[in-house]
Amino acid sequence: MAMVTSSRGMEETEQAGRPDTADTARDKSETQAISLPVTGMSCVACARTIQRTLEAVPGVSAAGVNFATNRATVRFDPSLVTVDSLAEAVRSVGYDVLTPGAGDVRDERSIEDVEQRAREAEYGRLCRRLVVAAVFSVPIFVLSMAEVVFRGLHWVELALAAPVIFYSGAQFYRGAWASVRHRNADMNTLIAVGTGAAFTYSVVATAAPGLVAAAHGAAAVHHGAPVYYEVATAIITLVLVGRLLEARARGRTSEAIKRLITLRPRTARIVRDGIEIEVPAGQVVQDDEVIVRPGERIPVDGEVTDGGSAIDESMLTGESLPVDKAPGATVFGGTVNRTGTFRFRATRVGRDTTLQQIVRMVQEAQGSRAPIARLADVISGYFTPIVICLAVLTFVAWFDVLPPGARFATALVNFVAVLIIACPCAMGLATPTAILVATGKGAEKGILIRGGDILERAGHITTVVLDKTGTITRGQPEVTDLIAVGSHLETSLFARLAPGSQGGKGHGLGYDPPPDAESGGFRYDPLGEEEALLAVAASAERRSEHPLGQAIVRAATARQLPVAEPAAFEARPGFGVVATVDGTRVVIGNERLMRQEGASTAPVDDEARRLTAASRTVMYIAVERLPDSGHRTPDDRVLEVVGLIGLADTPREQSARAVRRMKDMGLEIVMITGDNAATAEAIARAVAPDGEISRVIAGVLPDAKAGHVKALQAQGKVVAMVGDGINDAPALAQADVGIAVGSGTDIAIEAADITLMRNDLGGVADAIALSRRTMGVIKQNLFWAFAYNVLGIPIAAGALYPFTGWMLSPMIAAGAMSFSSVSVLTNSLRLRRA
Amino acid sequence: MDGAQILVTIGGASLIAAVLVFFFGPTSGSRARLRRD
Repeated sequence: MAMVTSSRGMEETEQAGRPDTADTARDKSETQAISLPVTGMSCVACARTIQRTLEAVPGVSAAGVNFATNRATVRFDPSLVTVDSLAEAVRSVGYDVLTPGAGDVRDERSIEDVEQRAREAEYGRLCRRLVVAAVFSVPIFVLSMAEVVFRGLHWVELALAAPVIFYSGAQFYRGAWASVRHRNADMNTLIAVGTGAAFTYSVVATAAPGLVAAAHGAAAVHHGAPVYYEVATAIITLVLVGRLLEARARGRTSEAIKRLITLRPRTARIVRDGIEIEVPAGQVVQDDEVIVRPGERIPVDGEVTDGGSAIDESMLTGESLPVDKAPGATVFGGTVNRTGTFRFRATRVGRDTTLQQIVRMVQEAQGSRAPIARLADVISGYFTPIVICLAVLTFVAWFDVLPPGARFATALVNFVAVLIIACPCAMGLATPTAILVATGKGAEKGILIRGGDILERAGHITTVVLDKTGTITRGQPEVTDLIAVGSHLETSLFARLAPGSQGGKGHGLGYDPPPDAESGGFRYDPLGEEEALLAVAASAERRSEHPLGQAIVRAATARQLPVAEPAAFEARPGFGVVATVDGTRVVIGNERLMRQEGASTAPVDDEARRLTAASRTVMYIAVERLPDSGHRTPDDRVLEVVGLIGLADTPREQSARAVRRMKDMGLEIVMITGDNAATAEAIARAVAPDGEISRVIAGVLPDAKAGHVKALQAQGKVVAMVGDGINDAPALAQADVGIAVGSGTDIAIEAADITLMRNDLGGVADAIALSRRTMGVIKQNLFWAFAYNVLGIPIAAGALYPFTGWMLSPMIAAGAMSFSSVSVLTNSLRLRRA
Repeated sequence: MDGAQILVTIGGASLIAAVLVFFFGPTSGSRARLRRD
């Protein structure tokens, strides 16, 4: 509700978010988007006023103003309008725009610094106003209650009330005037009319008692007409208390994004012309060589050129373990260097760093509107003028019903009470504060949510479609089976490569099979022979660039096996490799390669068939050795198959738990994959042993995935598609909510509705749970805000008086009104503890 | 109903009419806003 964007503006924002269209490219070359921090907004109506003003500036194609974040986002043509003239337009309607004194205006860190100072100054001003209001209101209140009557009492009260009205309350009257000029009404209007009526009447009663005494009947003619200074001043004091609490709570709602912004260090150490110098981080340019010492934050994105370290990337990915980085690895600005000193070449600086992209995306999301906010919008459009009418009606009714003596006072007091209790600020805060807190919380957990509408849709998801490769599984092959044909392994090659390897412990190869997985599960063998086989294979594959070869090398490295450098290496694309390890010829590849090389696969045929049936990729390992008998010259060496290695794409460790959690949340889980049915079923059994995955759709081409998603939607299901963002793109777009897992550093951020920065399916459950909680909080907020007004207005009008004799004092109404805003905010802040 | 009550009733009714026209009449801010929403 706080985000005010014209439909045209929303379309453009959408386009800007989807980078692949030619239209967008043209848009980008002609227009420019800027986010300006605005101060002085007190209400949603202020945001509307500023938005309309900005849209009226020639050259501006779209404008959106977010009351919750105090930002105005403007898309404009730089050849027609400048940032300064935009700022001038905002100032012309009584608000201010903050611009950093020098340097890059669009550097979030420097804007954040300026905003911080402005917020503190505004908070200070609010405090001073409240202190003045409180100090003068208390004696007025005491005087009015004590029933002391002395000559000139009303003049004393007037003198005490004047500073409260004209200093502390000035902002309400200014705000009300600004909106009346635009023929709008907001909470300032209600406060101004309410307190203004009480104060003006009291001044007249003080200065010219004769004028109003008649309205109060005969008694007033003798004792002077009653005055209501305490009503006006107490309302202003209580509303200011509410504003102060609101300002504090609002500061907390955007804490998460502030923490992200302040992640970037202020300075960077770079090498220029061979000299190491320290410069402000904003001045690092592409290709600069940056030095980072242990404990320091990395200033920009880049590629490690020298040295290495373990880096804590938890602030970007939510992953708690440090990640090892060696030359060639990518490092990200804002992450913390833990152990070593290293140098890197800056690749992305300033606005382009991953951190800045995330910050911008979260800011955009925080400003976006959820469709649920529309109802509140429509109602608040009618609300304030109708409340004014109701208040007038209340006055007339009381005046007409009561006998001459008390009727004017009762009518006036109820008139003011209706205006004050109906201030619509709780309604205005209900949706945006919840979205603000939820998107911030998500970002903290490595879940980037594109906007309020996504949160709302994600809260209604019934079915989750999981892509298998790269989502449930790692997306790269891992060694799952090692089968050695023992008698053939007694060669000097194995003895040298794997000394003392007999009786080794069974290694899990990084995957723990479920207990009931037999043919579908993964086999591992405790014998050292297998390790020797793996060491030989890894040595032969060491220079291989093929994913299968690399998987074998990884498996050997993970088991800390010796991997030798091959003397000769030849890759045979489509077949395998032929290498010489420690003077012995080793051949690794598929069955065709074995046939080509004249090695018999007979001893392992049964095992090979079993692995193939369990959808493994099978690699044969053959080594050259002398025959056991007969002539034993080097020319007699024969190639013999000594073992098999089975490889498969294995599930991520967290997948099984995440699937379980989603099932527990009542979600229907469907797995979709391009792989054959046997492989798909095996993976489904491994991650969902209790049948949590209700359907497996196998053998699907990438472009057919979207069709399956559509079919599910046609059955009335609200579908979330979870994929790795590249080949799943059409399905991600078709789904109600597209969730990209991993690769959160890429353009994938731009393509999906929700991006998980960590390669963990648990984030999907987290994101859906967060969305559900957020929708719950928004509904509670709206319910309380509406219920409060529906109940409060009749009570303030005096509807209970005929039955119970209750009449609501305007002061209590002011307290209740402040309390309602604060309670809505506090309710939204509960999301922080998710 | 005495004279004051008649005066207040007529005054109140006209005030309500004025408020409605001012905020919801043609070219008013509320009207523009509702149209856009």
